[in-house]
Amino acid sequence: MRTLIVNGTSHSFEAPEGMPLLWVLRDILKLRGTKFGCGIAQCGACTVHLDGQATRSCVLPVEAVEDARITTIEGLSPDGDHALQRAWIEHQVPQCGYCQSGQLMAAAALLKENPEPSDADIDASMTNICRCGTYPRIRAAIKSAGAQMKQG
Amino acid sequence: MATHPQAGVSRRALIGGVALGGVGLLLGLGPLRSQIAKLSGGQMPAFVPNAYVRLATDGTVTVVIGPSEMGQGIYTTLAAALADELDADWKQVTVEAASLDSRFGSYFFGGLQLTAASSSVLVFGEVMRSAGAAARSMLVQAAAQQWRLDPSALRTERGTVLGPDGRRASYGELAEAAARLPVPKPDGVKLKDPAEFKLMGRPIAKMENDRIVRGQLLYGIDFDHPGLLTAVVARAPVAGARLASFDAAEARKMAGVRGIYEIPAGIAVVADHYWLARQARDALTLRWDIPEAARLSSVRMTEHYRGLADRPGHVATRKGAPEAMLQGAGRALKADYQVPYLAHAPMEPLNCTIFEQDGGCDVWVGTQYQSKDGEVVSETLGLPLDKVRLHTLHMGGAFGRRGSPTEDVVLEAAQIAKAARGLRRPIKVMWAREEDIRGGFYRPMALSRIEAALGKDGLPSAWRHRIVSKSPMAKMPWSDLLIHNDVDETSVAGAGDLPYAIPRQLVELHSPTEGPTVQWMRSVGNSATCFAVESCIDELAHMAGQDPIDYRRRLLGKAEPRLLNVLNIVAERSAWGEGLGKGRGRGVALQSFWGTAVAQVAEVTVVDGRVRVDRVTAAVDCGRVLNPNIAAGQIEGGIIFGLSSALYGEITFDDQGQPIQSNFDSYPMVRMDACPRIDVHLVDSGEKPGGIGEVAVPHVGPAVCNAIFAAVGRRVRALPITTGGFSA
Repeated sequence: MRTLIVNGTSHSFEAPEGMPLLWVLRDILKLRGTKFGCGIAQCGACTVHLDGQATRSCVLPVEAVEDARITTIEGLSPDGDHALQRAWIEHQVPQCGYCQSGQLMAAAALLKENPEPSDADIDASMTNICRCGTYPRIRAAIKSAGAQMKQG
Repeated sequence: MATHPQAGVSRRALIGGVALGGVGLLLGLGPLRSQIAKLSGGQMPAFVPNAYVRLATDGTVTVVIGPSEMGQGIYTTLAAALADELDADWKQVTVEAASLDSRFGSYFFGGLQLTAASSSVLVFGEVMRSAGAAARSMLVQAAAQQWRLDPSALRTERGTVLGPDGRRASYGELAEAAARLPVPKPDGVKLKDPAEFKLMGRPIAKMENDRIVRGQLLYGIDFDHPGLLTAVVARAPVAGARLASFDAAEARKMAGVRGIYEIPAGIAVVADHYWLARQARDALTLRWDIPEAARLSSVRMTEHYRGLADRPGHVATRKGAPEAMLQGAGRALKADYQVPYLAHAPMEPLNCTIFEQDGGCDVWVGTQYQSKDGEVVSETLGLPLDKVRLHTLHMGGAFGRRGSPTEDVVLEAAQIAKAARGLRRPIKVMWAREEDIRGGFYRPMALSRIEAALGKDGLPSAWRHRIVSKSPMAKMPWSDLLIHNDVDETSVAGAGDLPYAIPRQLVELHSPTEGPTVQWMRSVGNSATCFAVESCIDELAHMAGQDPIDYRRRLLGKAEPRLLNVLNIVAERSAWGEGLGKGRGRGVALQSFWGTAVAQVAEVTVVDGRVRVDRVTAAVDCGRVLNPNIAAGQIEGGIIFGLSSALYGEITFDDQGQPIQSNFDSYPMVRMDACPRIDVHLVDSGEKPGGIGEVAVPHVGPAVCNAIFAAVGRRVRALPITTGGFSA
């Protein structure tokens, strides 16, 4: 039996050794907000927080994270009211939306560490792929949200 | 290729049902009501005036939409068009995807349910508006009867009918009474004047955004069902390979494996969930026979294409006789422009869920091509078409891949369902990214050989453009609509219909049949022709010693006012003509298609062969703009999509015929750090709605290459630029 703490809740389940956290989240815990895009940590659609750090869950074997606190998009805020989520709505960021869970999780980790990121900071941290091309709006939304969070 | 077949179909034919010879509005709703009740989870909507809208007594407005939502915002755009005419309360509007239903076919595709060609607003815009207006008039009529007033004394606002003396009734309250009224004749319904629009023309947010930012929007890949199993397929390494033998003994013993089946594409492993299916698939031993003809490398294909370009092809366009002038030419150019195969690579890998049950079959899939899905499921499982229940889910991108001529993803799922009938379980077939990138159905590779001669004024007096490109339309059921005299119109779009006043033109096409499967990808053949044409026009401008924008202005003349307008806008907004430093340059490209005129200017910096695209300025005239924010997003996104192709995109084949690329490490995409500043200028010319979803994709490639030439004097004639000695 394995145990994971996800979004503050403890879950116990069976999973084979080597099974990536992404598939545990999606297929065993039925948390489908975290997405599958490439399986080799290239695209970032699977980004979650592991003890607050943005991490790509598609290459993280479940046995390696059993003691960590995991946050998924579902746990980013109680009711979609994280400053980033509000900024994403205000700037009309999403198109198909599939990459956006990962984008938001990556952005949240960035802002936590660096509330006023420069363009170069954003370039360096936001490496997730968006095939629909929402990058300009993501950039603007991150800056907005950062400013909002700074104001408290 | 801007003509839309049957563009003259009147509203009369359209309001009752989109299919030709439109069925009348729904009356006598008996069996349909119970079907609707099922759909609505048992709550009987009171008022169903037509196929496009249902109104419940609690005021919920359900808009039924034919085209598929893939991020282009069509659900929001069309729902807003209907809701505006209805004067609904936008907060009460919800969308439902149409089922397999010929009333939702597109006249653009001869009645098929297919979302493509950036045509959804053109085809369905007025239909939705009329449907909303009809429903509104019936609600007004119902209130008028109750209040014993003339309908002209009443007005509507946000889901409410208002009387002159302050009386009000909500649409929910009036629904049942409205349902008893006769549906008005199509001609009897007046649409709003643009000055009255409340939702149309406004930048309303996409309806899905709230769910998206919470991770709550469910895509095909997220679909769940009690008892769901997952299937993965071990596929041929090369198209055309045959499975010689396989050994599944090890795989069968593995945890959670429910069945292993041979299907045309390879071996399907069905297991309790994806990871277990993958593990078991890895334990298979397969031997494939690869026939010689399948071992087709990119090198050989390019040689073959160059050979074809030496010979005359099927004529797409002829104006006068350029041949003579090309032979004796003074200033002249002969150049080959080449673009590679491309994979669509939508962020959500391909998938389809299928379950034979209840005397029929349910299919849950993100699809652009419902008609073909129904057909392949019906044929494969031996079911009548009306027993196939197709549920269109949201897609994590499509770009054309989810509307293939054979609907291969759904066909394969049906084949697996048939093989695994004994399991009696719903099965979700999932593709990995590698299977997607290597799985064929590519944007065709294309070689363009252009010969041009300049007249004394420096403008081209003769032009011959020979295109070699495999035809994506060959297998479509309506290929006779798009293939004429052996010319696939989509392969020559943007080449055979130049907006430039070149007096002698010959455009020819060769459509080789060898090579991987091909399919239309966002912007279709224009993605190739724009690169060739706009690069060549640029070369001619430089040869003539003229500014590339002035040159194009002269060539457009007075005949192309919309293109001239967008060209002038980007010239101004990009600060064309203002000095840039060493190693920096600007390039322009323009092209019209799907009824929309687009011009773009790219600005680049090149240092030691490394290209950085700093800025792209775009001007777009798509006629009436229904949602400016969604439209701008589609232009921004189209530019970035085109930029990935221009900078990095290529699918190439080794000498065993195997694709070299496999995932985002070998098939890279533009990410945040390579994304330029993008400025979009939408021109609302009030003309009939042109396309938006695809129209910005083709221009950035040639604009960037023209900018590179301006910056460092080196001409790129093959995409991606990274194959030409540049890095990005």
